[in-house]
Amino acid sequence: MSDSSHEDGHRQDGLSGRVSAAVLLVFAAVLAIATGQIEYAFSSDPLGPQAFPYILSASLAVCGTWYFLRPGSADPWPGSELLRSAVGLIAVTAIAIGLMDYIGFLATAFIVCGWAAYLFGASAMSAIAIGAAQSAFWFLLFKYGLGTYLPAGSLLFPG
Amino acid sequence: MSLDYLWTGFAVALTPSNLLLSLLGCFLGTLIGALPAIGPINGIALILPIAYTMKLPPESCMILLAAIYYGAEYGGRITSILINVPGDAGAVMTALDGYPLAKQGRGAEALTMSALTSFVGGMLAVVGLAFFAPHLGSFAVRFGPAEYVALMMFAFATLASMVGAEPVKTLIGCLIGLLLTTIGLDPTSGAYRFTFDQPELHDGIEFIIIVIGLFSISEILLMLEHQFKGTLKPIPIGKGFPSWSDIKACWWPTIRSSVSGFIIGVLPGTGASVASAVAYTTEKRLLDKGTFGKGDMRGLAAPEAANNAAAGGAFVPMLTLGVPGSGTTAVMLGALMLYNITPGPQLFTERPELAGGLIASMYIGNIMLLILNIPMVRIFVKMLQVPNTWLIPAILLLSILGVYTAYSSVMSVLLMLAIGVGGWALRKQGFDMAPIILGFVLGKVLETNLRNALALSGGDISILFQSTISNSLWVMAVLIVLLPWWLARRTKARASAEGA
Repeated sequence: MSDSSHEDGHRQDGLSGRVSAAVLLVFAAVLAIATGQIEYAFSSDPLGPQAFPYILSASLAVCGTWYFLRPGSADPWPGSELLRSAVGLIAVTAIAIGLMDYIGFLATAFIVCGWAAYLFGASAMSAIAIGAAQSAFWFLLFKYGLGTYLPAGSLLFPG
Repeated sequence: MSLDYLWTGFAVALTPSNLLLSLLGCFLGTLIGALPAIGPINGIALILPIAYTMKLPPESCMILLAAIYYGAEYGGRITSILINVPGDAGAVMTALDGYPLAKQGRGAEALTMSALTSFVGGMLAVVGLAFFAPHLGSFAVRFGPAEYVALMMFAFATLASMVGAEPVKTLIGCLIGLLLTTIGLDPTSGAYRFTFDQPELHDGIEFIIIVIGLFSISEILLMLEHQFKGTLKPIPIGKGFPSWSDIKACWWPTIRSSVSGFIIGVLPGTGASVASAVAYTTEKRLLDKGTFGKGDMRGLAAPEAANNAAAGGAFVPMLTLGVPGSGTTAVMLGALMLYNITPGPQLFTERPELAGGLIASMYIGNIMLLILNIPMVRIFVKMLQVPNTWLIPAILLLSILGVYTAYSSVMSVLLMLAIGVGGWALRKQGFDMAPIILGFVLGKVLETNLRNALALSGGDISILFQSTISNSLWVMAVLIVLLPWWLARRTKARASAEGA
């Protein structure tokens, strides 16, 4: 385990905060519109299901404006190489999870662990070994130790 | 009320077989609690059928389950402090100062402090439970919707302490948390809010999905960034026992948080997450000089004590009224019903061996946990020395397993990943995760009770200010916001007067 504090590095001001604030303002507007579209026949209380979200979207709009005017400091956005790795980690993990019912938990865990190990500096062979060892260990612990349901995968066990 | 039931209880709990069950429960609970999302509730649900099949007598079964409950409460701290993955809802606040402490090489000290303050919180709660249970039961039923609204406003007032150098980011975080609570079926009107026709969102987003996403996944992405920059540094293990000055500094926060945690735990529907949040923010408001959130022992001690005190407090309505104070006690209530036992005030007189045995076993369980865990702290903390190539895949997989085993849904895991990416982006922008969690914890209770209160009064808002309990809470809420501000102003005025 290592220190991952993000206190170091350069802090940047202005632009990225304003972009976030703009996204927030758009989000507040979308939220207000979506709130208006909530359908209900009747409500047993005087406020109804829309009041709370309306209050929240108005508050978000106020805070978003404030944030836009005074964006404060933020960490710099990652470079393209890091961004590719981050997107790669999440994308591969998401695809492996999405396929879990088809390929089974063991294969999913193998892909997720092996890929993460590789991104964190393991060689290809070590990553394969880590993926195999971790997927087997956690599968056995959860499946047989705790009696949890984990999908075997319709690819290997059809029907 | 006579305490005879308690002496009967000690006689039951101190039998060798029940002592062994208590030890086993504490050990199993610690292991179960250390796995993300397999918190006390799942631990008890896993063991209950086994205990029932073993034909354990009801008091032994309850002793085992209570020990698992306490053990799992502590187990949740291990991953929360060491790898920033809260094991359950009550452990979220612990991570705020616990994880920075671990990063400073004080993980072992933090775990020991957590064990000590959990012990104090747990013991005070058990004393409260033993002496005041029948009276507190009637106090809890006086909490109607208006009182809950005042309680939540008090909790939000303590949030003022989270406002740091950039208050707008705290407010936005809190609003995001509140907003997340509005997703799903609105029980009052039957309307689906922001579900976008996705059946997985009909029940709303579960707390554990948000917590694991915001804390664990975003942390992994931050680690990846540091891996690239070459700034990932090995964490030293450090010494195992906190210094005397740390213990002294944590004493009053622990006592205060134990009392508030116990009272909040007594109230049905609030539980450990609200108790630890209120304790943390209150202590931050009272004591913080810029160190909370960066590895302050007091920021660790307060939620730990409150969390364990709330765990004890949750037994009050369960034993005296048959109303569970938390999800876990709801499962334990189910266990009592398996044995055809109906809880209520008469439980203390009609089944003293059961009520007393349970309370006595909590005393014993707390002591056992302390004896069991302090020597094991250095073993737990070795986790930090596992190479990243092994540890980070394990954290990622445990996060996935935590959500998948809890909800058996691939969509929930994908949602957790998406929330994690959102959390990472927010952290990059300088947002803190704690206000989001607080907003989420308090939001649902606030909205539901506000609407229930107004439904009762036909829309008359004065219902919120009609009882002594709610008025006291409103006054406390105003005081907690204004008092530190006023005190700071007075100190500043004095300093400038002396300077002149």
